[in-house]
Amino acid sequence: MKSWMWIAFAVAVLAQWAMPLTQILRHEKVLTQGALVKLRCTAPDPYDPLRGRFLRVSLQPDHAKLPAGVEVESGATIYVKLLPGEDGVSTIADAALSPGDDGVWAQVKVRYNYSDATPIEWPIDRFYVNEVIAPEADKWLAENLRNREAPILAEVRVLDGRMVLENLSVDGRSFREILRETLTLVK
Amino acid sequence: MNSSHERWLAEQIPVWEQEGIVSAEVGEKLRARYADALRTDRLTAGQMALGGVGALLIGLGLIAVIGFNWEDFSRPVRLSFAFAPMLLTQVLSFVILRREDRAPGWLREVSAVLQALAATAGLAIVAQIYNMGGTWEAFLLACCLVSLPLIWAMRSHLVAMLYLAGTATWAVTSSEWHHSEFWWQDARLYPLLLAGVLPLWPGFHKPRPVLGVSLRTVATLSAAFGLMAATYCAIHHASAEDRWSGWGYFWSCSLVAAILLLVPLNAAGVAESTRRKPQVVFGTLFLLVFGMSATFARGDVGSILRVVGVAWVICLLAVTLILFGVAARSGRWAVVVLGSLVVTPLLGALAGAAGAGFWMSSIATLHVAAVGVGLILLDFSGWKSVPRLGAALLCALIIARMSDSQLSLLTKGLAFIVIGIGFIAFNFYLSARARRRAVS
Repeated sequence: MKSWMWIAFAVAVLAQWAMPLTQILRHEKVLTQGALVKLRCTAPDPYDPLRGRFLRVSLQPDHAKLPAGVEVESGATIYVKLLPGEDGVSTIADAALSPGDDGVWAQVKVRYNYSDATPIEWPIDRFYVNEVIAPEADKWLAENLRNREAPILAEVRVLDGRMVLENLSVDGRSFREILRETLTLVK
Repeated sequence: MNSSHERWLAEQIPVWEQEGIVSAEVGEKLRARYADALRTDRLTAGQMALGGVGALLIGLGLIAVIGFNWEDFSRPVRLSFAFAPMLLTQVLSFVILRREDRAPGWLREVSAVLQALAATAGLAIVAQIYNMGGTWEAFLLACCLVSLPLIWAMRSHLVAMLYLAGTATWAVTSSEWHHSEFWWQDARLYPLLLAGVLPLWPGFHKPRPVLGVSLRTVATLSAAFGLMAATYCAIHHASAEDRWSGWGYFWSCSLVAAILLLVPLNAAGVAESTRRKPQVVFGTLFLLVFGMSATFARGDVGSILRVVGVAWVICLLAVTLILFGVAARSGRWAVVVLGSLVVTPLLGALAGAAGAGFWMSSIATLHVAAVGVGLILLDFSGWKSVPRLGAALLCALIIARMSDSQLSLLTKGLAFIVIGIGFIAFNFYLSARARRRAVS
């Protein structure tokens, strides 16, 4: 067997371990050390052929106001400062090209820039759920949240600008728990 | 002759030698000619289908099981679901690699496919556990990239096919994001991804890999769609104008088709039947459609002159010209004549006819007719050619021109009858000549 074939095999094995392990380490660090932030969101239910069912999480607000005179192109990375309100739900308090020293800053991307309020793209856009409860989730959201004051909250961990979605909650309860109860009642 | 015919023929050589039908010297020459057919590392279609489909089903089943999302289990347990199959398949591949050429080819393929799909499943479960974002196309590209070294290490044609299909799918779908700031974020990355399968190209390592028709077909389609998507992105990125539309983009894609048609071949490759050269079939078909469409051109041929200024299109043009030279040096005049259809719009545009449909249409009609006549003349001059295709092209051209002419129905009908008789007579003549040659 030629040595280069062993090298290629070693590269394949290393890449196959390195890619998921890097992701795991990065996300575990944010989950264990990151600050907890709650953001409003909406969450319909699409499907990914490779990774299964998920709720498409659309974090709110989806606009940030950059300081006057700061020019950014679409796709550029900026930072937003997340500040919790009296109800514990965070909003964007500030936006800048680099994170400030105080508070919790998250890295986001600029969608396009043509007005004062810059549309942003959050790094989180999906919450994976079990195949059984996924269709129920969509139905439950449509039926129960239309006229409610209690919003769906995305519980996000933030560390060094990086964000990891930990859970979705409604009225302080885990979204998954509510759905399981609903399913049990239906059965 | 397909691969099973070749193998049967190669297996008969010792029998014929024993029975005195062929001499030992001729037998040796035949053995050398059909050496590839007897190689043990060559996969039969049945082995490929059964082994490959089995591995694919197991791998896809694994991904689907993971897709269920076993959220009742803790994170470490769920991660072990993903990593255990990956580790198992890696060990299997290691054992097979250690057995070197003693391991059957189909087992190597099965092991490589399983490892690639187990790695995909591993990435999927990590993405699921940590609610990672990103499009499915980007995820597909990541899976293709971690599987790429398996093509080199395991010499796996099945993984190569999956990789080629995956990267082309990524290129086509990501061409929608033509606003990407960097070339490596959209389909313009595709040529580099295509280069990843180069170790499979004949001549890179010994023994020379035998590329089956299925792999060649997937590679042709992948290269065609991937490079056309890259062309779309490059043209769109070059200007905020709508430069990609109409003839400019169509012509740029015909350059990709010409490149595929003119891919250099060695003597054995040239001698192979056209059925085993899907790149020639695809390139020819695309260019014929392009050439015939050009004969109807009335619209914006000026867009061709605009895209000529795009760096990517200049590169495509340069590569096409180089390949024209290589093909001419190899005496592949039929593909040179067919490939020349790509310059039709340029001729029209250079004649000062940009925007003037009459000139574009007239020049294209003359050019397509010349290609038809050229293919027939090449055959009569003793070069390898496709005279029937030339005749069919002339017929199609006459029918097209008659259909948009102002002639009476009677004249058109008579003309069609005369052309039909001429076509049948020509076909009869070619068949008779082929018989005479076979007898002599």
